[in-house]
Amino acid sequence: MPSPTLPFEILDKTFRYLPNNISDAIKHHLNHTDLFNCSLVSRDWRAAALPLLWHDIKFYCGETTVGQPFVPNDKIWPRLSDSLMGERADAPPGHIDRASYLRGIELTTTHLFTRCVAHNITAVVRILQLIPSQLRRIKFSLSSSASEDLESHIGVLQMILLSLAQNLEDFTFFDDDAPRCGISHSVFPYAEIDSILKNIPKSLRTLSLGADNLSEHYSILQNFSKVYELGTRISTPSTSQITSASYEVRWCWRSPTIAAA
Amino acid sequence: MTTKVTLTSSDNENFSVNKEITKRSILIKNMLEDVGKSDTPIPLPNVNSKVLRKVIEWCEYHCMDPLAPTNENTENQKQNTDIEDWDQKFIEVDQETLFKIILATNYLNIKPLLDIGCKTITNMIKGKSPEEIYKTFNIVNNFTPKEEAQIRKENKWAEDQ
Repeated sequence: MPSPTLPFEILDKTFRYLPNNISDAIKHHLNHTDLFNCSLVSRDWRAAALPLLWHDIKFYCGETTVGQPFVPNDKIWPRLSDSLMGERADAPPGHIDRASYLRGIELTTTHLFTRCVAHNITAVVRILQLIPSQLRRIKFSLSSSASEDLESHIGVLQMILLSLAQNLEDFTFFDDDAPRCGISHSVFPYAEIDSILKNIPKSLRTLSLGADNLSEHYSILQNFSKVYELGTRISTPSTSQITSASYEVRWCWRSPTIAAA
Repeated sequence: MTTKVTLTSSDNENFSVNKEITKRSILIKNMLEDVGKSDTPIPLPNVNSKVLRKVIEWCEYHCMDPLAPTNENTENQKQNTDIEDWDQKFIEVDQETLFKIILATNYLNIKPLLDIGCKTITNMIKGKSPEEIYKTFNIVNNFTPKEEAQIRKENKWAEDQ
């Protein structure tokens, strides 16, 4: 005798207990995780699995480095962006596509010895353009020794901050190395910082900037003091960590509700 | 002296239960607060006597537990599918009953027992292929051929690496 069917909320709750639920769409699909398998079972199982499956995408690109827990998946980006764009283009009215479940994007590139392939970045941008207002979390960790790469990364970051991140809540940017011309200098340069920060959405709760290189320490802090002057919405830093290898400074906007309480 | 509350199952069986124990169910707790002092039996049209007996058994065993916090799961709890020994034995029932306990618990709003039910299903899913999941849960694949084709198309980007 068939068991009673479980409603959406129960399936959702059940799937949230599955291991790897914190991994991302690419990993789920490549490894055929339990959650991925659940998405193939039936209509209602798929409806409950897809929002969890597509919550986050983590792009890893470039060289494999010691201590990084991931393998670069360069080749898959253009395929993924074509797939998501194709679905959006062919969608009948009322169809909820996979991209509409996306809330977080993580982009980690390491290009110390080779150049970054431009079509990878293009692929990420194309995906981001499908979801202009629904993105909540962006985490970028960029490392490159070529100045052309830096320029393209900066372009992407500026475009995202200025036009694609209307409802962003968490923005993390880690400038991994490149001591000669760190991206943080270029994206948050002292002189231009106003234009970027004034366009940071009001929804932003945390802004984390980090760098591996201690020599950048002071210049970034200078930027922060500028941030401090700029914003009436800014509270004191919630954490400030300085180690010998890296440091990260985290700032939180004071949300209206907390301020009221 | 303890106050008793009468619960009536969908098949019209009456259960006389300590009032404090029935408050494990947020639904009943709220009902009792709204109604105030009353001897009228509480009808539970969505729960049959077999399932209600199980649910009451669980509530009686766990009557000394602190009341569950109302906030959502933390990340830690989400990943943890361990179930305590007594609860594990309690939930070893046929699948139809398991599903009915889950549905009843969802209706009665008894979060800790709902968690145990969902974790049990999660543990049954782990490591299984879609075909094995069909068999385990006796699920009918209700995708149309057109939907099947669409799903294959959607997942193609991750294949042929």
